[in-house]
Amino acid sequence: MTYFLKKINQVKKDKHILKNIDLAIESNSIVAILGPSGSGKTTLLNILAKIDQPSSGEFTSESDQNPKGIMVFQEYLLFPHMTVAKNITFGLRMSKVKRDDIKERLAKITEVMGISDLVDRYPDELSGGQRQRVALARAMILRPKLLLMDEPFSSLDENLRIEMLNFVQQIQSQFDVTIVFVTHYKNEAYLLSKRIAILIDGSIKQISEPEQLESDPIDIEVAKFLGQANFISGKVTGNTFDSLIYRGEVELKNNPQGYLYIPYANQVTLEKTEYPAFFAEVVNKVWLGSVERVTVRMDSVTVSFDCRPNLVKIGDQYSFYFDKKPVVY
Amino acid sequence: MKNLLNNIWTFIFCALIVIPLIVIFLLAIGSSWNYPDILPQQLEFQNLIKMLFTNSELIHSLTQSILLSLGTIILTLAIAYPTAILLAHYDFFGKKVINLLVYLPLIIPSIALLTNLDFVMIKFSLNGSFVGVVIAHTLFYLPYAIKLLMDNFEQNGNAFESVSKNLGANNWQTFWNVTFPMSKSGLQGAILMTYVVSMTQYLATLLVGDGKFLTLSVRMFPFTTAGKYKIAAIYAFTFLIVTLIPLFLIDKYIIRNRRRG
Repeated sequence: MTYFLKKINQVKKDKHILKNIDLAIESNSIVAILGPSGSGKTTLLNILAKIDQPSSGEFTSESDQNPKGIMVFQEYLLFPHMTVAKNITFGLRMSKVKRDDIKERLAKITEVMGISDLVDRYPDELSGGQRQRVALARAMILRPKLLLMDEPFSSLDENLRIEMLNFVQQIQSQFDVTIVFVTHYKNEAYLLSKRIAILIDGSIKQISEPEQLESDPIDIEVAKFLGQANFISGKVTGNTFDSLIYRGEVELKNNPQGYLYIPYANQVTLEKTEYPAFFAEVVNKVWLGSVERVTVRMDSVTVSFDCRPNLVKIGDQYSFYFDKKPVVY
Repeated sequence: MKNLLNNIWTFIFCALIVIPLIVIFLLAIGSSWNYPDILPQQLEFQNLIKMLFTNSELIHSLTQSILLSLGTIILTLAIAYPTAILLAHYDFFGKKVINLLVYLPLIIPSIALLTNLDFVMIKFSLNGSFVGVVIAHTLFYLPYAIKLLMDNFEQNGNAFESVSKNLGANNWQTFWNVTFPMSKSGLQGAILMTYVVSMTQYLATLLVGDGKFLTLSVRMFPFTTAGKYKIAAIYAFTFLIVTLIPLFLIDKYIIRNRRRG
């Protein structure tokens, strides 16, 4: 079953928050909506959760004209006056499900989530990770077809975040649920999803796999949002770019504004290619585990990119090459 | 330096609260307390207790005070609760004006407000009636109650209501299971404050009630001005008990159930 967002617009107090959102979400997949703060991510999720109605456009699915996602909220929003058990079973109790069924489903879901021993506690007695699991259990006990997660890992520390990302992947495959989650951390999106929609200023700019996003952002806005890249200003004449560090043929994107895009990863190399880049001195390098972030300087311009460890020495000068024809936005 | 400050605070606390309370208590239970005696010649606990349970005027005043306070609490909450929800959670045209109107009874001098209110009550034949006095009391406590409840609603936000509806609850279920229990602390504060202030209300009770409602504070006032300190102290003591007991109970209840909203 595929979910469709067709021409969704949201206007509030004369502010156009969402602009013509078109998106198809395949069932049993994890789709990440990645964008900066204030780009309209939560507004979009609220529409999918039926918490809010769009000003125009529709959200449908192949089998349901009025689908509704169950949401795991950013700050979990566990009811502070209810125990974990009452929180988790809230939706079932409101739907007047039989008490025995509730009991059985509570036992099952708390076991899956690893929180069976927490059922009598109150939310203020739980850690961040435990609260996250309770919030997830509260949604999953309703057996939703569409699970929505609003910045679900933003308040967790690094280790816990990775643990929870893996856990959500497990849950997704175990329950065959479609997950749409929003985040402003691209690493989180890359770790959890194979399909990422970039939402900037209320518009979906690009829908791609992580690798393609990094290597080929659709425009400078997306490229700048994704970060981890150098933007060198220069002049475009025909297919040629002229700047302080590079002069030569380039691939031009739509409406180029004259910025050479050099991402940190997979673009600059010491191995000779048909695209010579620049001759520069290494001024700094930082160890990042599997790679080193190298900073080079020519004249007054500095450029950073990732290299294999110990490939270059600080103070030495090297000829660098582009892996492929450089792109100008 | 810290010790000195502590001592100063202790002195101020004793001078302004503890010593006057002891004096009221001694006045209530003592007899033959004349200048230059530091303490009363005799202490009569039994008399005080007997009066508390048998003096029909005192019991009548107490009953009227409590009934008026309860009526005021009900009417205040009936108006303040939905108003606070509206002001805290909804945006609408004229919200700022309504916000200001709520505080008008505090801005306008109470005597001006009461005399005009009395005219209105006479017009609607509500002067001297229980409902009339309750309305007059309510007018003065509404701003406090609305503010207390509004702060509570604003602090909680309406995100929990969204969670509830997203999980399948309808509006009523959301109200009874989420909004109401989560507003308990604001509600308790508003009830307590309305109760205490309604018990102390003198002018509104006398004016709008046409002197028919002889509450504790109404009876106490002439005794104080006439220099009948013993009987005034007995009324004051009764007043303290009926004010402090609910205060203590509600405070204990809030602490015991701190998680429940």
